[in-house]
Amino acid sequence: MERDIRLMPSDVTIRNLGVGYGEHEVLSLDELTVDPGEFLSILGPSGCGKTTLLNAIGGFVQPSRGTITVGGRDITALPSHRRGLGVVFQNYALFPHLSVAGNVGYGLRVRGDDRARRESRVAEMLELVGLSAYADRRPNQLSGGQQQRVALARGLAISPDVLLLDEPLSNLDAQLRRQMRVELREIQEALGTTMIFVTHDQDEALSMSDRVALFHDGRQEQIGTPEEIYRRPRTRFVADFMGAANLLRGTVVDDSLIDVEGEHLPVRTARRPGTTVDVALRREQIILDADPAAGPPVGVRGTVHMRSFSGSHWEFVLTTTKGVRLTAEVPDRPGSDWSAPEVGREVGISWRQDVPHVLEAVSP
Amino acid sequence: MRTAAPPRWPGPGILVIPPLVFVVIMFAVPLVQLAQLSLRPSDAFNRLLDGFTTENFRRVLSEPYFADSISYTVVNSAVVTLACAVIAFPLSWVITRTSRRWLKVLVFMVVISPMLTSVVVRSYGWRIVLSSEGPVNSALLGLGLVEQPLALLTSRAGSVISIVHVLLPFFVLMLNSTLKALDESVLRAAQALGAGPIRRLMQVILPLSVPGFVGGAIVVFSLSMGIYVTPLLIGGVNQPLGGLRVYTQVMTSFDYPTAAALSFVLLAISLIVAGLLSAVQLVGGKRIHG
Repeated sequence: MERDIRLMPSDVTIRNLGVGYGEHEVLSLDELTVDPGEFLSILGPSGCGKTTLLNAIGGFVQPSRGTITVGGRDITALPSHRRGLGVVFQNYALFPHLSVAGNVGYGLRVRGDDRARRESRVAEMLELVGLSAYADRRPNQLSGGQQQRVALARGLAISPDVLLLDEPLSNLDAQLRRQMRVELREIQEALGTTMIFVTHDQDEALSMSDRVALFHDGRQEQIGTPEEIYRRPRTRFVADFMGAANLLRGTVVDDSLIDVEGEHLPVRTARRPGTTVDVALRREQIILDADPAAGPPVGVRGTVHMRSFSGSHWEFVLTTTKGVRLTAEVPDRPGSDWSAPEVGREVGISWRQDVPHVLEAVSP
Repeated sequence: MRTAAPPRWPGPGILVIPPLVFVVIMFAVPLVQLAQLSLRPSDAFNRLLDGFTTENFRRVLSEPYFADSISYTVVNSAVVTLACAVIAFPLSWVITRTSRRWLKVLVFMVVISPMLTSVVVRSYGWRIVLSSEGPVNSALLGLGLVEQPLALLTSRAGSVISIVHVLLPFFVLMLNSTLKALDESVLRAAQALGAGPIRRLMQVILPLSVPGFVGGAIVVFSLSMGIYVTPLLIGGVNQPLGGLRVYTQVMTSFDYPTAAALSFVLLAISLIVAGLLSAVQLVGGKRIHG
């Protein structure tokens, strides 16, 4: 059964793409390749160009330069209805005047498939998204999650070379969103369709994707696996967007120390002494020496400036002796003899020397 | 301890009373009086008599002078409504969906200009355009398409054209709200699924515009059933339009009961057509909005 609905996935290659002109260029992309069968997320804040990129691939905006190739076929000049791509929108965009089956079968009807073929394909797709019992319903009789499943089935019914998803989970509530992430990924793996998924939610991008492309100001900041993006951000923007709370600018002292505002912090680096670097340190990587499992004594001293309790964790704002401010997150340990240091208390601040990440690029 | 509840504010519903009173006094009361009038007998000098009769309705429905005007008016209104629908759609599309602001404003101003000009100016404008020495006839003569100037002013075409011009803004305004609400991503979804422009129009845009067409048709048909000033000024009083017949009965024959009966027949037809159109929309709308 699953073998029947699998198809040869296509790759997508985008070269030298621009949308808009001159100062009004809203997207500029040198190269982006999506592998056949890959699930690629385009991640970024609103206005970063991610939706523009999706619209350019879908044929809804005309690029001012560059080429888009799908499965070796140059589609840059084709109108949207000749591209053969599936699209799923944030607001579902179902046809309100057609039944669920009518929606899912619309692309097949346009293509001219005969009735029997259409019906079997629609049934197959509805089964895939678990909505076989709803074939005769109208879209407005369905919940948001069900509507989005119909939209997904509709986009996939035409066996598209690539499925484009524009923030498809953003209108759903948190619990459903989590469930749909898993379902979407399962469907993607079952069909093997290449999917390009636009989102502003880094959790979503990290948890679902083979690779993540992070966009900022109409440009691609970094592309890589979720682990790469998370652990080895290339720029300050990526580090910040991926939630690294401590972004420190300093000068390399030697291969294991950098100087930040006069404070010598233990950071392993291969950069030449004297180089200005940005260092990202995640809050959960900081160890307080009130902690019984304290790491090696490579830290600095500081005081607790503020603390707050979030249930499973304590968050501390710390100030080192030289005035560098750091944010740390420490798991709460109820029942142990550990207690969270109070405000004003002097603490030892340390981390494993290899965890702070020296960013590849120094932003101006 | 709780103190006694303060006097209850009757709620914002109370605000509906003044407009309701206004509507009742200005519309319902005269309508009832007109209904009474249409059932009053009158003598040979059109003086009202006491009593009750259905004679006025019998006359209106059987004498060709009135009966033919009713069928003529219904056909006229249907043609006007259809023409408005066809013309209004592209105009409304441009107004609601173009990204070019100047074009939007320009088309909108052109469309509603008949509503902003006085009926006299507008109608005499049409008289000039359609007269035997006017630009239309000059062009037709000059091109050798006709040998004699056409009597456009008194022709049915002339009256339909001028009525369409007057009523078009109503249709466009009704259609605008529907087309404005049409979700761009639904059109994109259809396009991505392979639907070209014609398919998108026929299979998505028009089905979803039905409420606007129904609303526009109800308004334009009803207005067109009773219109008389514009045709009076352009084609004269002798065209067999229901509104003109009512006008003649009142202004020349002083036959108020017959005029009232004819008005009521025209009104009844408008209401029936509006009811049928609403039913179409209700059935269709139920399929969409459940």
